[in-house]
Amino acid sequence: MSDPRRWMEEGADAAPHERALLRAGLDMAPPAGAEDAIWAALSAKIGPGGGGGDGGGGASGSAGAPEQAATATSSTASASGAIGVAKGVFVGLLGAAIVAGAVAALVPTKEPPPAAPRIEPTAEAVIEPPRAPEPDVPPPEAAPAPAPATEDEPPKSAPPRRSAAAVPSASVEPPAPSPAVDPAAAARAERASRLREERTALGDARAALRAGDTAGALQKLEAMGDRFPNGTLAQEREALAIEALARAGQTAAASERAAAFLRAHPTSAHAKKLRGFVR
Amino acid sequence: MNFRQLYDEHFPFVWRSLRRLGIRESDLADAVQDVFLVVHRRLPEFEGRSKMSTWIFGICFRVAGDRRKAARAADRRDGGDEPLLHTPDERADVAAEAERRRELAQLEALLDELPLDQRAVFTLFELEGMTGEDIAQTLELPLGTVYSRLRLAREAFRRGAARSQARDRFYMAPSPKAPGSALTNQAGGKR
Repeated sequence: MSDPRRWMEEGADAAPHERALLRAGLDMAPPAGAEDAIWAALSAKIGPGGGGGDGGGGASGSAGAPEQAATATSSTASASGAIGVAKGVFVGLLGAAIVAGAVAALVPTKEPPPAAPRIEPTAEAVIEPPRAPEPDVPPPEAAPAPAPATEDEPPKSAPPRRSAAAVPSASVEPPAPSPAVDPAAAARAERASRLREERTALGDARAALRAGDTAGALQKLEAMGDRFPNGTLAQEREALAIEALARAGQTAAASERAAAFLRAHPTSAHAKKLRGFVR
Repeated sequence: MNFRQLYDEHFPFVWRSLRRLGIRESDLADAVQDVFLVVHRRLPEFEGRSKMSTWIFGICFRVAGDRRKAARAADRRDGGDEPLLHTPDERADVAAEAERRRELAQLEALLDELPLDQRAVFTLFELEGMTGEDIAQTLELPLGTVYSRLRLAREAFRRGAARSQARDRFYMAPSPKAPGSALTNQAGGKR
């Protein structure tokens, strides 16, 4: 028996759209910062329990401590007090949420600017496929050109295996060559500008909710929905609105909208949290 | 090699393995921690009969399985008292993030349809690039079983991909008014 050819290999029996789907899985790499953040939480758990001599290490809480502690514990792991660790372990403090946020927040800081996302021009239509251009924006010049990107997107030269790169986009070409004359690039720039605006609106609403102003937050989110009815941050907007409703005591409305959200986006990063609002 | 070095070396592998086994981004930090806590605890039992990564993947597989069960059980509890404020913020490249999220969501939806054992074989083979022999050793299966699971997974993936493509075509088809999403309908201007 020998292995069949892998789908991502040249000449394999896989259709372009199947490869395109698989390609997303190659990019499943941790964001910058996640490794250290998780190590910090991890070492807080294994450090003190492992003992092993270098006792001060685990308790000092400084950046250097985890390393000492872990080094010391590696040989005495079986004596560690970490019992039942596989269950109910939570990253301290903001935990998972921080890391989930870091996926979005940390990676891009090392990436090309928003105007030059890591996608090929044909991917232009992919971001919001079901949606018509918003009414107040002139349709981008490039709009008619792109076909569904999953169809005929030429396979990039990225290696088919082992997504070792820490940053998903590392294997893809940097910004488009001639943005000034490229209508697709102009459209991207336009969209990036709108995204910035949308992001700011979301930030304002978030700040209001943080301050306990649920009515204000809802108002801002509603205005944001009017301005960007099909915006890129529509998921975040809706999730925050559900939270605001719940905090305002409108649990029935929150439940109804959370259920609708989950039907529309069952695998969203917000799904877990939103299930808590469904009654 | 001390534990920190082991962690550094295997962290990306553990991360993407859990991700490919269906752990959501929001749960990944916890799950990665779980895996390394088990690795740390059981390291003395590791006898070097297999590759370290093979052994670690076995732990990932069990942790992912446990978390799948727990997630189902916890579906309806899990209070919402912590704000959903950890969304892409001012530093985020939201365009790239949105694109990534869409691609991943499609892939995950397909992988979610697979039983965990098929999913493991499929992702190890197609994405991690492991050989059938390595997978057989990792999952403690006969090689023939690995191949049959791969075949079943491929068939299921193929069916799902075809559905996904059909959906895309439907939405991409020129129409004066694209159908509004449930999200939009729900979110839209109700006061």
